[in-house]
Amino acid sequence: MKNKELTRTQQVLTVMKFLVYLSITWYFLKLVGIGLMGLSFLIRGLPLSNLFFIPDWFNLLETNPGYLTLVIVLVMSVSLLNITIWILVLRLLKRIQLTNPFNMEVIERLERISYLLFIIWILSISAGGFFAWLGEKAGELNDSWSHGPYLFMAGLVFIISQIFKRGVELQSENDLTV
Amino acid sequence: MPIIVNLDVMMARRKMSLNELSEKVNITLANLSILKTGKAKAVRFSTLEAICEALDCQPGDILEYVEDQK
Repeated sequence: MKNKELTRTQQVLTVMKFLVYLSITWYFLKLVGIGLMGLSFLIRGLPLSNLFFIPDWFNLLETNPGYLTLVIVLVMSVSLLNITIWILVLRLLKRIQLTNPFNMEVIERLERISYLLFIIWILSISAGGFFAWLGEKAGELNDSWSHGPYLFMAGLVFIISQIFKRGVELQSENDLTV
Repeated sequence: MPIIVNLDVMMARRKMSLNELSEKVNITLANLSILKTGKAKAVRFSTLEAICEALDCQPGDILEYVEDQK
């Protein structure tokens, strides 16, 4: 029964790794889209607006090019941070050994992920406020910001890291029990 | 640590090596070494029973309490 459970958990981990690769790909595409957006802003007349992942923010260009630059920088920063988090998650999934899951390396990676999520939450709130203000000035932006889940995830991941810390203590006690 | 393990004393009295004791009680050398050097955090009753049986002694002969002097 134990072997079956271990194999099932390994399968779940494999599926999770695949989903993480998908998430990294998605955020990378978004990053590339925003980058191309910035490029089309520099090279006027570049016909990029037909591509599905390029946002339609060209009306910002008419209002104030500085606003567009700031929006691009904000969105790219959040996408980059998201990619970083998913890469950390992927490294964590690769490092986790089911025979010995409680170790300091896993705890450190979990804490790092929770801190990054918290930073994204702060950035998202700022960006959301800025977008709302900008929306009144330059028309509605078709990119929505949801920041709530980031704080929840940051808290959840941090709690999990503390539980793992306790797991390490219990494991070392068990290792030194004769 | 206030609990002192006098396993080496009992082993010397019974003229038994760590290898012999390990085979008799069916505990690995590594674990016995952890116990002997006082690094163990806890001892199972089953382990204590096996050691006392092998060394023909009482738990009090192996374990001693010395108050921490801070």
